[in-house]
Amino acid sequence: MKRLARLIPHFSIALAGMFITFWILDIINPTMNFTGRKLSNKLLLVFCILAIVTSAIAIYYERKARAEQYKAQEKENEE
Amino acid sequence: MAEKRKMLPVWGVVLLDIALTAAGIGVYMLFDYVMPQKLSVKTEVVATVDSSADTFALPDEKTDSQSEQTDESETESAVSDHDLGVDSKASNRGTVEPKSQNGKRNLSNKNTYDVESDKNLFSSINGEEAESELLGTTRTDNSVVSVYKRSIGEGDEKITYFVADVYVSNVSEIKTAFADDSYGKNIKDSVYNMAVDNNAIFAINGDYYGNAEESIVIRNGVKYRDSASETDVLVLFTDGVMRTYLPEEFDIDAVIAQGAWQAWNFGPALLDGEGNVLDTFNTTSYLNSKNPRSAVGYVEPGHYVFVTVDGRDKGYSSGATLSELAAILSDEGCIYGYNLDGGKSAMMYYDGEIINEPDGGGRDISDIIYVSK
Repeated sequence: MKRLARLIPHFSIALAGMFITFWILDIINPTMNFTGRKLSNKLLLVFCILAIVTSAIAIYYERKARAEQYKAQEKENEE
Repeated sequence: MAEKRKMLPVWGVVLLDIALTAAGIGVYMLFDYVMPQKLSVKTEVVATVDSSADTFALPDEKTDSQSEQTDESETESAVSDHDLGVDSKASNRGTVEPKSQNGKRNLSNKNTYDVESDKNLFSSINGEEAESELLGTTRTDNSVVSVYKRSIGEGDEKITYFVADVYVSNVSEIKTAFADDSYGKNIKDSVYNMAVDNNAIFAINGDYYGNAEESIVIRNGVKYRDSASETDVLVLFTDGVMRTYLPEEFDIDAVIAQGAWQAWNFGPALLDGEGNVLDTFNTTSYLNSKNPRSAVGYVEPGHYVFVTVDGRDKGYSSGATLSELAAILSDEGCIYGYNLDGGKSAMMYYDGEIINEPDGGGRDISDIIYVSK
């Protein structure tokens, strides 16, 4: 699970890179219509899901870190 | 500490992500551009033509020099015929207004791209005497095809192009064929193979419909696809009239009602319906650069001109911009002109061989336009 959590951001970056490439190619040659293709539509859905998962993981770790920080602060205060 | 040693450096992570992106694009291309997919679509016969009828008169047998002439008066009569409407159908063509008289286009679609045409190129091509060589004339009962090799300019600016002047007695003689005789995505074959398989006298590459997911595809009176794209549309009607449409003015039902025999969706349109080069082309500046090109032009019902421009070979032929291509078609007496797929796809077949010099030897494509023996 941890390994998957580590890989997911890289897949997100790869998909983002692909869509940026398609977007540039579409500006150069709109008839290719990379971003409008059915496969691109499906990839966009995958990208959205990965973005949500990546964000959820990032939020989880950020909250965990903050909670630990609070705990450490409380401990310091108690001492 | 041990875990830290295992970690990739930042540049390694960046490289890995770039490699992953490249691999993703490669897999995408493999699925979307390489793997052939036959498409099972609900086809519909939208037009029929009585192929036994001689609708248009073929030109008399002329000497080569006579046929080579581009007689201005002939051009004018073709234009006026079109204006008057060669028959009632032609005069009543379309529920949409033709392009404005001065060739200006009103593009309201924000997703289309406009590139201004270069009228200086137009006048230089029109004013210039092209070197011309007749490669041959083939006359059948139903068609007369004369093919010329022409060149204009000198040195690095030289443009070499091939012109097929086609007369047919019936619109059904202007045929199209799919690679492997199948409609689908990424089903490709060479222009040569498709021409030979269909017993063609003359053939030229089509609009490479198989490369797009959305476009108008009507071939030999059969509708395969009617999802309009944002590019101009060319329609050949059963009465022999041909005209171009802007994406926003194109109405599939209207053109089918008027008898659409063939429809291509690549473009852009080059001429305004009166033989003038359009002020702007519905394309991008990148696509307007000098390239090998193929185009189809309309003179009058039963008389069509097909042009293939060689390119990317300075000294022999640098290729043509869309303005130059439009000027060539206008100079050939066309009133409507339309750009087909170009680059490596630009190929012309005549009398058993590919007569132009395609860039990189050409490439396999999905469709051709041809005249059969």
